[in-house]
Amino acid sequence: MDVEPKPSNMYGQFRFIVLFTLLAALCGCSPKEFDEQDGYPPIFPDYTGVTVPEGSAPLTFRMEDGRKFRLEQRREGDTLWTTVKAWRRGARRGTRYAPFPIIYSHDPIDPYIVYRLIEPGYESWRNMGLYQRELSSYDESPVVTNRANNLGCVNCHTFDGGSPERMLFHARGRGGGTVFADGDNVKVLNLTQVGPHRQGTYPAWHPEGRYVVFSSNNTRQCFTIRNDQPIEVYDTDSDLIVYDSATDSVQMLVETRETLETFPSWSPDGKTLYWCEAVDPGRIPASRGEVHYRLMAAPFADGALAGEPRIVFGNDSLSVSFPRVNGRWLLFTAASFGTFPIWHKEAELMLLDLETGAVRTVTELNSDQTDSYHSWSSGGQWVVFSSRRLDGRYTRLFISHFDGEGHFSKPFLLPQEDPDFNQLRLKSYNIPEFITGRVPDRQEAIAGLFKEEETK
Amino acid sequence: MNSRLKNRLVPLLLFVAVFVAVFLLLRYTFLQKEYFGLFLNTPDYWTDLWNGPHPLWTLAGDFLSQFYRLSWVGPALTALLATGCFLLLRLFLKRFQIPLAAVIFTALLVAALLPKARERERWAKVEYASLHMQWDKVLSVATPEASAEDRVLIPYALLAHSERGTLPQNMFRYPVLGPEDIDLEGELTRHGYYFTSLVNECMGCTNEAIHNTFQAACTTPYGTSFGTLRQLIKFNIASGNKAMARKYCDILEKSPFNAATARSARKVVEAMPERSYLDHGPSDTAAVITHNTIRNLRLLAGAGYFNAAAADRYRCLLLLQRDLRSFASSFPPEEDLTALPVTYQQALCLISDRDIQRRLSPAVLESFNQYMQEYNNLRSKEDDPILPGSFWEYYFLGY
Repeated sequence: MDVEPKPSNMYGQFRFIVLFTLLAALCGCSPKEFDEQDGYPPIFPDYTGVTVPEGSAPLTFRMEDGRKFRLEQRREGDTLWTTVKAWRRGARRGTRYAPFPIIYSHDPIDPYIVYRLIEPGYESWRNMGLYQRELSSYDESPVVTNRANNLGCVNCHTFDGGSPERMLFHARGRGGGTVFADGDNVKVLNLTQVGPHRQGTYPAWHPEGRYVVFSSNNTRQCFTIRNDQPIEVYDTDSDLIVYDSATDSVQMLVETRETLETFPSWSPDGKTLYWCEAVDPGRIPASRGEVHYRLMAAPFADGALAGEPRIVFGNDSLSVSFPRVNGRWLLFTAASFGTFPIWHKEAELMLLDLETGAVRTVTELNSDQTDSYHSWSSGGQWVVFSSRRLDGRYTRLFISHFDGEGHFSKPFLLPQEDPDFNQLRLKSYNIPEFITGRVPDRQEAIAGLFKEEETK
Repeated sequence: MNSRLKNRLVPLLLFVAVFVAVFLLLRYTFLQKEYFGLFLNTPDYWTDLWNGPHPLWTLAGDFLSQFYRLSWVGPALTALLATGCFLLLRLFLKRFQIPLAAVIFTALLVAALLPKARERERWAKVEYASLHMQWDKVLSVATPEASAEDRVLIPYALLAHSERGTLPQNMFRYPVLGPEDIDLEGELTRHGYYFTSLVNECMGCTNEAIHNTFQAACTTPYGTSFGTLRQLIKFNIASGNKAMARKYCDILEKSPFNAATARSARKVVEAMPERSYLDHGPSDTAAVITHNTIRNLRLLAGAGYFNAAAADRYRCLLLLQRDLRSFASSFPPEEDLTALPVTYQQALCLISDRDIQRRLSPAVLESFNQYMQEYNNLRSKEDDPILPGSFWEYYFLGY
């Protein structure tokens, strides 16, 4: 028999809820007294003393050890001073830490970053995609996901001069190829079916927009049985090809048997092409420790090299990857060997002064875990790079300010609305690239390319 | 029986009947469904859920899947669903006679569940038992007779024997046809990755166990699952990777029903020593693993990670490949061959090496002579086997 709840019961329940809420509120109240402590508070992410762009999404954090905390903030000029008072639940006394600064820079930063999100497995994946993140908010939206190409791989995105209007990326799998998007027009081109029939891997879009240089890599991977480095990715062959968007044609640019060429990159004026090159020792992966890539450069004009390549930097104790030029500065990743630094814990960022030839390890950016792929903002005052410093496996994005004189500020983790988001996300951030605006929604058009391929 | 009592008793009996039937027939299917299921209160989970098809329906299934870890929950929910359907049916079709409807309904349900469900349940049972290293349970399901009907069971049976140290004595009791029966390296499916992860765990190849757990996870709708998260925590604890173990604990804790498991695992994690990354940097000489199991096992031996199970596995693979030279050379010269399992001695009999022959048990040599006499009189493969379960049967007759 159904019985209507009696008013007295409801009142009892109401009293219980009020009492519980009050108790909970009392337990959560901060103490009245605080012990002073020198030094900045142990917070996650560590935003103490970082330089952030004006208008950036607020930096949210929590106490590393999960304590409750309260903030007091005051702004003095471009510096936001933050005082943290932390306490354990139920404690009568808490701790008041020294105020730490967050410096706001007026140097312009591009409003968006595009990156790929993928599980950091080795062979397979489920959901992956290219995503854009607005830096003034926490908004993340897909540029294209692999639902468009039937759960195939999407990778190696690049933009013409950082413009969201003109981009390319590779879509692997059935009907795959290189997808070129220009405004509302999208097309897929299978590079292996044109010109020298070589597939494209790492792209570099010429600053004037007509040419794209790709490395063409035959990439393999091997897995260690019992070592903290679980995987080594290597190339058995790689050369450079150039795609001419005016004629839709592809030509070989650098082709050798003895050496491996990869990671093309442009000087800002487009007159010099940089890339990495290693002598092929043969028998890779057994000889993988002997593979050391050096930094090369050659003048470029009219779709071809216009002079002899020269060695810019290199030695037998490290391997160079991802050269990125910003005026007189060239930032690159250095690992002890090989071509895939993301699986090398010792990989770190190094800065080359192209005027003096001086090279230094960028200690202010590096960590004791992998620090790897990086990209300059279009103005050259900011750099975003990927790092595995949080847990050693899942790559996260860090941003740092560059003073133009060879110095970087303390990097800050890409802020999230919930500071635990970086811990809870089961995907890695790949290939962060700054772009100058929001990428228009072309997902349907891109998915249409692969539906067309399926029906052929 | 008055009609009021009957009205209440019939649904109750139906509930009990369905519960018992499903518990007996599908318990392990639900347990494995939980392994590959996922419900997490994380932003990425919700995003993936809402971007996927039928989010509300999926959400309900995902939420319930976490409770299937208790073996009675899946059957109870199924019984509840069946009873609910029955009550609705009764409500809308009152003119049906209740007992008849109940009988028909139950019969239809059971008929629908069998026999595909039994096959799936058998796989689920060996998978679950292998995961928990319950080798006796594996062998009680994956018998030679059952394996003859369902060859999927053979690798699990051989793994169980390998872990119990009885592989050479028992391998040829199963209908093995070749090296593919001992592993699923070429099986690039969820079940293949699951099994390969278990094999590598047993062999002590934690990296490869993690790798294959990742691979299995990638076959699930969200790219991870309760079971793969639990395995990743276990493997990262085993390999001393505190940061990763802690991360997976944090994530698993976002599943209400797995939170307690995650918290207790975290206590183990927090007690682990911190490591310096410098001690565990990249190595240009570390042995690398491939999809070639024989080569991997050789590498294991070369790297000094050759436990007894791995050694037996390696030798049995060589026998399955009929590579008798490599098999013979896997024993040190001073090995007492008479102490080897009979299967091994049967294989060594076939090598025309006087020194080896001299060191074998006389009983095995005598048995071999008798076998060869009968073999020479054998007319065809269809004849009764001469010595079932022997290596000679496999070597000469192919089964």
